[in-house]
Amino acid sequence: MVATVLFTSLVLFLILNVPVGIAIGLASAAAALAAEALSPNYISQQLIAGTDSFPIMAIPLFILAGDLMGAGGVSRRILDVANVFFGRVTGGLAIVTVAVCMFFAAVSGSGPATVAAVGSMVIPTMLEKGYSKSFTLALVATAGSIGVIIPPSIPMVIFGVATGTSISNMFMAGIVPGFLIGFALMGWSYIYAKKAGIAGIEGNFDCRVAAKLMWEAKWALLNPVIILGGIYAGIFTPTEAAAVAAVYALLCGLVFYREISFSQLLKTVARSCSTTGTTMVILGCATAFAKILTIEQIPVQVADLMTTISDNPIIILMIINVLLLFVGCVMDTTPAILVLSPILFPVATSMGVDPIHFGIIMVVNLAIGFITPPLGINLFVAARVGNAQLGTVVRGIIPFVAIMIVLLLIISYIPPVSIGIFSLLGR
Amino acid sequence: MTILRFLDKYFEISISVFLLLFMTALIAVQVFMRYVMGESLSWSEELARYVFIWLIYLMISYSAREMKHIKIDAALGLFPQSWQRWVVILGDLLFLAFALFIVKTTYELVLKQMMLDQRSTALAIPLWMIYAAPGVGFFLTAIRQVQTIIWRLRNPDKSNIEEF
Amino acid sequence: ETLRFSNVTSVSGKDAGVEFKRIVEEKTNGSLEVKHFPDNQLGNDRVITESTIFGDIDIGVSSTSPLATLFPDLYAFDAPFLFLSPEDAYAKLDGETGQAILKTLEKKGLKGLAFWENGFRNFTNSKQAVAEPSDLDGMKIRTMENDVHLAAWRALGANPTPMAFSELFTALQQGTVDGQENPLGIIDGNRFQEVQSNVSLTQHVYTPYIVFMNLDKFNSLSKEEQDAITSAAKETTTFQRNRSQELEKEILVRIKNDGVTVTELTPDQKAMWQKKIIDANIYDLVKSKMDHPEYMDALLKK
Ligand code: NA
Ligand code: NA
Repeated sequence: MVATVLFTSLVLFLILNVPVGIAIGLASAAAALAAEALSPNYISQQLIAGTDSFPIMAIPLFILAGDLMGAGGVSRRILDVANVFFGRVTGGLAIVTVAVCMFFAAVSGSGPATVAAVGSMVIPTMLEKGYSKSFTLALVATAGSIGVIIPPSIPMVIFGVATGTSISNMFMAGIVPGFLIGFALMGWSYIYAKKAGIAGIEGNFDCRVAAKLMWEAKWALLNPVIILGGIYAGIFTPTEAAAVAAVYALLCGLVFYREISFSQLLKTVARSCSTTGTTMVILGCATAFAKILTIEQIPVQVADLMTTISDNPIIILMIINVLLLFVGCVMDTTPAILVLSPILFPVATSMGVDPIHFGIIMVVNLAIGFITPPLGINLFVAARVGNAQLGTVVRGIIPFVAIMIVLLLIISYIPPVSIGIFSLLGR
Repeated sequence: MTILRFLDKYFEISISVFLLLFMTALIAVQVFMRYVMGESLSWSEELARYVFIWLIYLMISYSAREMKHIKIDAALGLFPQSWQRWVVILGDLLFLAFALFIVKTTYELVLKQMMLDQRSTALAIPLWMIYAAPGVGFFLTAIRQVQTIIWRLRNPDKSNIEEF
Repeated sequence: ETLRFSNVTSVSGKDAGVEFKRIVEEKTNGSLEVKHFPDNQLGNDRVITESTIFGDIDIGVSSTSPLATLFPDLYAFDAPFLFLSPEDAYAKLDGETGQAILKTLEKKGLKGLAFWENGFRNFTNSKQAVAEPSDLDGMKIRTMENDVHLAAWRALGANPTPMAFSELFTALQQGTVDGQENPLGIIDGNRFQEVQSNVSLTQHVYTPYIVFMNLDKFNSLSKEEQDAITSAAKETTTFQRNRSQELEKEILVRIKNDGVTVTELTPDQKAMWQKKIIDANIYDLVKSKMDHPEYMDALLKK
């Protein structure tokens, strides 16, 4: 009953042109009224509970850092350098974008924060070079999901705690799948650029030009060094790194390059505020939605039902994947892991699936959830950072979801992809 | 009149710009104090979180004014051309209804929090001040939605706002 | 009728939650059904407590520390070296003073049902074996955002820093902080032994879990149902504490096998820690925050 109200009203509100976050909030409110003993206040309380979290502050901070890097000339210089090295390759800029996302994935433990950091940095340049808007935004949204697969990763921590699985082993097992997804996206970028006729630049590699550009970009290039170095030297946490990146980008724009005026600065920060507001309201309302799903035990019931269908491990893994992909469409990663892993984990491991392997399957699944509508936070961040309509991103996302599903199947049915690293290291 | 116009354009955004810069500075100072001074701040993270919450809910209102909230516009294609304008307005009315719903429930929640007299752990800030954020944000949003609906009724030929 | 029961992440707590469900449903012949939500699925300690007060959740479990701003007498349990053994803790928590503190929850609409055990907090770090306060020597230690804990660790000579729990694992791995302090169940549950080479059995603070119910809901039940709940609370308390002790022993064996250095404190060493706490007037700080400072004296009495 509550489930029916929740899902039908969500679809209805989305069709009636209600903003996504508000539609999710309205559907939750309708469900709260339909549910037994749940006060309407519960929705308002969850708006706070869902946003009162330090790690999610990495998202606005990376949005700000990205915007400041764009306005202050940091992004342009980094991309100029990348262009010298990779510009002659077909699809070179898109490939660089994926590489930058992989880099940020090693910094941040969150998917949308990775999109935020990379998006405003690369999107304008990619559009300039002739990539279509929907391809560009979909690429960034998808590559951003690598943020939770290459360590550090907040969902992996949550999974480890919920199931008692080794978190550092989860981190290790994420490395190869993360790179695999990165390389697949680079390959697709190459194919896309070839088809779209986006050729590389002409001419040979010139050492002196490269050296000159790198020297001019020295302050800009120092930014990623500071962020990554700071985290791995234990100076700051991934979330704090986002703030440091923003402060450093501001320093570059105001002091080193002097490309940003005071009024421009205000405009840039205002833009970051707007992106933050429109994406974070969705997160707040999605928390209320997830809590009602949890309280009504809807995912639990569905999971219980689905896992009794078969006892063939191959089929069970397939069912679990379908279930998780579906859940990923409507639920954010953290609540999904908390609610589903206690049910699915024993089912999978009792059939001989390695716990770490299963954790990676789960995280990759929910990373796909970042890019599946209606609730795909990476899509929203990409749309707002790219100043585009949601439809533009969604139109471009289909081939990417297909690629991710193929990779998910590879990761699901070829365990060495994730856990092979342990035998390589002799553990 | 000019004051009203200024508030209309800049009220939420000017506060939010300050809040975002303040929040960023707080976290940067937190890192500096812990790593360089060896004297960690106990309150910076908590304050940054609360600043963030206020920022979010103020920006909901600003984004409503700018009509920048993320929608599934493609779904409009399901309706005949002549209906689409009214569907958009219906969507705005539903948004307005949600805003009023949050204002009402937040008000009740704030009263309850005041009775509980719950404080934050680090700074002992009364928590009702944090719980008030969605209420204030959605109250402003409700005003913005009324503005938006009036604008849409007056400008049937425009799909989105450029400038009020 | 259905009761929503929100439970914590620790294994002993979850096991006791399942037991609680079984007992209540058996004793009421199914007139009460308990829906069990483990792993803080419905929110963190503060959110759960609020939701229980507001009636969206019927029964909740939380550590005492995050609730101290709401129920100031709970600050007593943040006082280091208040209890010196589990038996000491059980006797006092189940005795007059503990029950009086539990009763204070009623002022804000909660029926205090029981004190379960989160456990004695121990100190872990990645630098060196720590036996005496001087070994802490400016170490960066993640603590809770709580005046008493911060003051205590400063008094011991460390550099305490509050940090979001979900970032703690990565922070310990990268050395952003050198150490943290938690009961063994939480340490093992969050796999901190993977990134911490030293565990010191400091047992500096005993953190209880507090099990509470929405007061109006409790009063609305029949006498039989109320009895079923109070006796389930009682039975699961013994069960949960035993389970917690049993698990702590298992965990110690396991982390030693994993190569973690476990340091036990001699009575003399423990006295050094206590002296630092007493010299820094931490007990007075705690009392100044409580509604009934006399409870603190009663708990400290041997
Ligand atoms: Na990552
Ligand atoms: Na999704």
